Amino acid sequence: MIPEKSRISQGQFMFIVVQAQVGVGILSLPNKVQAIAKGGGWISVLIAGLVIQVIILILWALCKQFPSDTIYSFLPKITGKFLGNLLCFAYIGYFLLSGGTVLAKFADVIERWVLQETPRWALLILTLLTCMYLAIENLRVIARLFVISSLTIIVMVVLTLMGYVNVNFSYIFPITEAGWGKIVKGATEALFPLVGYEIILVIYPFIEGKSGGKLKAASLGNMMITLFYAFEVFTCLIIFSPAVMPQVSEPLLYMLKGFSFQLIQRIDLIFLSVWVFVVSTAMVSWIYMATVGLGRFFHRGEHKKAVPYAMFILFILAMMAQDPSISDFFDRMLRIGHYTFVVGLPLILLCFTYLIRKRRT
Amino acid sequence: MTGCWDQDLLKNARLIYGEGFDLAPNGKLLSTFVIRDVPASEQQSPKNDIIFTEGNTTREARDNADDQISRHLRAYKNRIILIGEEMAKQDLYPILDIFYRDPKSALNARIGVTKGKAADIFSLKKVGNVLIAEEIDELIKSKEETTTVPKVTAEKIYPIMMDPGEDFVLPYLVEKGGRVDVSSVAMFHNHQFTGILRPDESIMYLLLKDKKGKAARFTRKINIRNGHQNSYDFLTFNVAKSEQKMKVLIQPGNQVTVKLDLKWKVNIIEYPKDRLNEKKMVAQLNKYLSKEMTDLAKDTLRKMQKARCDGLGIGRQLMAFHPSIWKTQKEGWDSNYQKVHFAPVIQVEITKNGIIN
Amino acid sequence: MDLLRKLFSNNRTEKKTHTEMNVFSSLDKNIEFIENQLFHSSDLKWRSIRFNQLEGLIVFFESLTDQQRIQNEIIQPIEEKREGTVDKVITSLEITKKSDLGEVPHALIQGKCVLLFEGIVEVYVVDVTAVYKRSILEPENEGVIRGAHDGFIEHLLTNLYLVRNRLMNPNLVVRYYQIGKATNTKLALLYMQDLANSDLVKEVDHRISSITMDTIFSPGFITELIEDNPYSLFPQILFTERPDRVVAHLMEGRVAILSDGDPSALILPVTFFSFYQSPDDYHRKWMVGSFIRMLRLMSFIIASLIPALYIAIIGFHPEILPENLILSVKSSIDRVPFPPIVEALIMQLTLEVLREAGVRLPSRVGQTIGIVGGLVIGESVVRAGLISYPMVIVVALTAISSFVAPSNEISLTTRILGFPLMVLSAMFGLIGIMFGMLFILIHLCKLESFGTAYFAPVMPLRMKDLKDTFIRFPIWSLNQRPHDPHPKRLNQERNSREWEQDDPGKE
Repeated sequence: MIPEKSRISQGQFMFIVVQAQVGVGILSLPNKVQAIAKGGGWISVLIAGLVIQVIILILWALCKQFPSDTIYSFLPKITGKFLGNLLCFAYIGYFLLSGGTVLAKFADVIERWVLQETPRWALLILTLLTCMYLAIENLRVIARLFVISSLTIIVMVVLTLMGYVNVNFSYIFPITEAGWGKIVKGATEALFPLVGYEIILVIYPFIEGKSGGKLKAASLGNMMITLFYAFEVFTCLIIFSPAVMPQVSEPLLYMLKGFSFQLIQRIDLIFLSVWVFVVSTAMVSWIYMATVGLGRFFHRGEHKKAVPYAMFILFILAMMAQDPSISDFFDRMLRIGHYTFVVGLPLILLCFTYLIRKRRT
Repeated sequence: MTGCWDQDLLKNARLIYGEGFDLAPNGKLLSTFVIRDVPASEQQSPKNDIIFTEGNTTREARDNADDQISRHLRAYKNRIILIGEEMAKQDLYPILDIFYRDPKSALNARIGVTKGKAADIFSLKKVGNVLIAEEIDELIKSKEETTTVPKVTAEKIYPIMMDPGEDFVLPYLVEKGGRVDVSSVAMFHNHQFTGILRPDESIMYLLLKDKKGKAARFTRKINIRNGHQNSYDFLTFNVAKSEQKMKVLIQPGNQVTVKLDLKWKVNIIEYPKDRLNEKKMVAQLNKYLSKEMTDLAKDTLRKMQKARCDGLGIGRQLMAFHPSIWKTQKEGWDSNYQKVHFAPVIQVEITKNGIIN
Repeated sequence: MDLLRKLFSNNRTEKKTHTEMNVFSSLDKNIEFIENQLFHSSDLKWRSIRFNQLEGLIVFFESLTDQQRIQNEIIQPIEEKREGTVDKVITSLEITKKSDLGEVPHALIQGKCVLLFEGIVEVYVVDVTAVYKRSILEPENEGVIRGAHDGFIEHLLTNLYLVRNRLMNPNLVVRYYQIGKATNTKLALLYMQDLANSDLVKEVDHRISSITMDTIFSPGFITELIEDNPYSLFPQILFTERPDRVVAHLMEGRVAILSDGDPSALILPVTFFSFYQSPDDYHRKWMVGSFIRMLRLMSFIIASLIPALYIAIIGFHPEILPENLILSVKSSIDRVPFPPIVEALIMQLTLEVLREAGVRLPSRVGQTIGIVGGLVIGESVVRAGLISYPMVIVVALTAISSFVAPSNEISLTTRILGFPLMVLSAMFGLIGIMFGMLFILIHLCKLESFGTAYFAPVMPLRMKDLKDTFIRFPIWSLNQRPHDPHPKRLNQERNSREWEQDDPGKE
């Protein structure tokens, strides 16, 4: 059922998780998390990482029961055909909505920092065409690109390190100024920029090897990203004083903007250029997740053909999100969607499968 | 070719190299723009063009200037922002807001306060053979290395500006006989200009803050003798290494005490009296200089307290490590800061003395 | 769909090129038939001989056969020994008996000569093809500073000699093909039987045999007919005229195709990085070789990106330049009336025109034009204020960087890649360049050449193969063959510096 040429190794899977998670949220995360948890923001990120690890365990346990099925195929098996297909469509909708908001946020940042006058549709078309070029390929090719673009994370870390010439550690003290309650609340806020790991639901059957290795790969990827995000948040917290943080929506870029080397200035442009890679890969992963489902329903299993339709939907979503009220609405829908589809539903399904199994034996 | 919505052609731009802000008589903002023009051929030297305009805000003044300038006025290569004394005494932040909001602005521009009007300094157009904006920029840069002025750019003071627990200082420029002099700093409190520090006090402040540049030189009088000066009475030394330890203590009665311990290793640069190979001489000098420097530190801190300039970030220290105290003090921090007790102790140790004794 | 495809396939229009016919016993009838089949070509000649008391004829093309050989190997022995069996008397290496007259014109066209005897219904076909070859010289376009200076020529057998001489191993297999129905070009496929992946060989064999074109002039045709993705800008088959390169690739498990009439050898499957390897690297010390190789790879990036970067910086983000630089750049571009994209396009196109002209210029005139071209294009255009100095520098850098690549195909690709990047950069600035690069990267990811990923060993990432990609590790540490052609045996030898181990240690 799974063609040989789509198989990927566990190392590649880890990089897929890494790239699917790193996306547009990294720029605004420090600001958001500091608003709630103040100096303890980086702890919130770590807590969020742990929570995600638990969620990955749940997802993995669920997928383990059906080692050669994607979520679209095993969902009807558990809940029956009608309800299963309905839920599949709901998942597709959630993935598309995710992709659309990522695209909208990306266009928003670019518009504010680099291309003020360019109309949004031009930027969207450019992005979507490039992503489409990758998304129509099978998983192995996608994995290859994801491995390469993980190098960009190293570049981003190096660029961030440049900020350390001007740090003031007293900005994060007292660490528990906001209180542990707020820090945990900050973790719920930090959860969202870290989403992307639900790709495991869709590509679990494509990965070679035993299930234990797959869990290891996913966990490793998650750990890498959590540490990376925590590092970024920490850096921003010690560079910008607590009074300034609410003003600055993208503290990383702001910090880089002030630097100058002998040869080039405006280092934030360099960072943004590298960041384009990262966002594109995140979008491709969302598109892939959605089109695998769409392909299964409409195109006899070939996700290739569903890609143009998915592109069109994303385009509409991103254009709609120019209006702040609509983008807020999308955000809220996403949060609800995340809690239901990624946390709640798999948990329920997992319990179901155990019950069914018990009943069988 | 069309399709380039965001095109900002370099050849259509006229670059602003320096901006100055002053208080106009009617309460408006008087802006000075120094525009750098490129020569028509490589042989000619670049030229400056100075424009004065008025406006309610920075951006409006810039637009008014654009009305008088061919092509587009662009400020992304701005190197120096000068603020006149009068203007600085009012709030600084509204002038600078556009610098922080525009993604294309030059956040690495240096800022300074001028004695009198910024427009006057820019009107000099040229100092010696160097154009004015470049001269000021390079001057401040070189002064940063001698620890006379702090290393500030627009971006570096942004977090401090917003922080109630710390205040910043800016270089203070004075026009002297056709040249620009940068040797002291201007103290600020809550975005307002509140006082000046003398040259040696500026160096001392920076050393207290542990922000030494490449060199930090003091020239002190050694012998107190009546009558006229004798060049034998002076000593110049350079602080090679400075270790700073600052501790904020809360003493009974919510008295905030700041203990500053500095250990300096200095090199003697000038000492006509010689005899530095005698250990007794060196020990004597050490003791004398330590006392001198401690007194200077006390003077500097006192002056800063009077100007309510929390240059060392005591408020931030309280916020971070003694939050309960901060809560009680932060309401009237202006006056509470003046009640803080500073106890600086400086230990000077002479290590090198050039190639002669 | 498939029915339609079958209807229009080439096989249907194929006609039988020759009909079976028995040899006549009458000599005249045979000659008449042969002449008719060859349309009475004036260079078809015959000579009469007598053997075994029979009248006979030697028929041959005087333009294809070596008259000396006919004389020495056929006519002389026959005159001497007037009797006996023909096979034993004639001293040629290759002599066959045929009874199908229809094959005779075909054989004559290949340079063989035919012996006909009165009353005998068999003909003898003897191979006496003339060979004119030029001397074995170093190929002009692939010179190296140190290394072998011989190169392939147009004669297939000599080329095979050059390869076999370097690789004296019974595992080296040669397979002949004849493709092109009208030109009947001879091809040879070479591979190491114990190294090359058998699936690969099967696939190449399949593709070559399926070529149904009339004329095959050059390996360029063959490439287009058998490569995976003819729409891609990137070449997927490596051309080379150097035998040492062919041997090196054969030893890594790749396959080579040599063609008669053309000195180029095709090597496949190749990766992107093979185009940036030169035999030079291995003749120098490994650190020096690595440095030079990294320079070459950098040149790819420079040649494709620099014009686009120029446009993006001057047109969209001039604030990137530091203060001193921006002034000198500005003074130069202030006078240019065009936007930077137009400037860049004009210069790039001029460069391509110059390069094309340079290929065809006679060498005497070439030098002058070079100087004139440089002066005119460089200096005067800038003086007139049409182009700016930085643009001239950019174009010069682009040109020089693109020629650094050891393979001509990829240097063209590099320059052409610059054009879409320039357009994207003119529309979206730096972001456009980023998307362009991402697009190219995705394309490189997708591209596969005969089952090997084009961008291996970077994608998919294999650390061991990286030892010979960006830098060159010492030979003795390259213990495994590269993975990408999926060779049968992976491990080469470890510890080739065995003398170091055996050294007992000095006192």
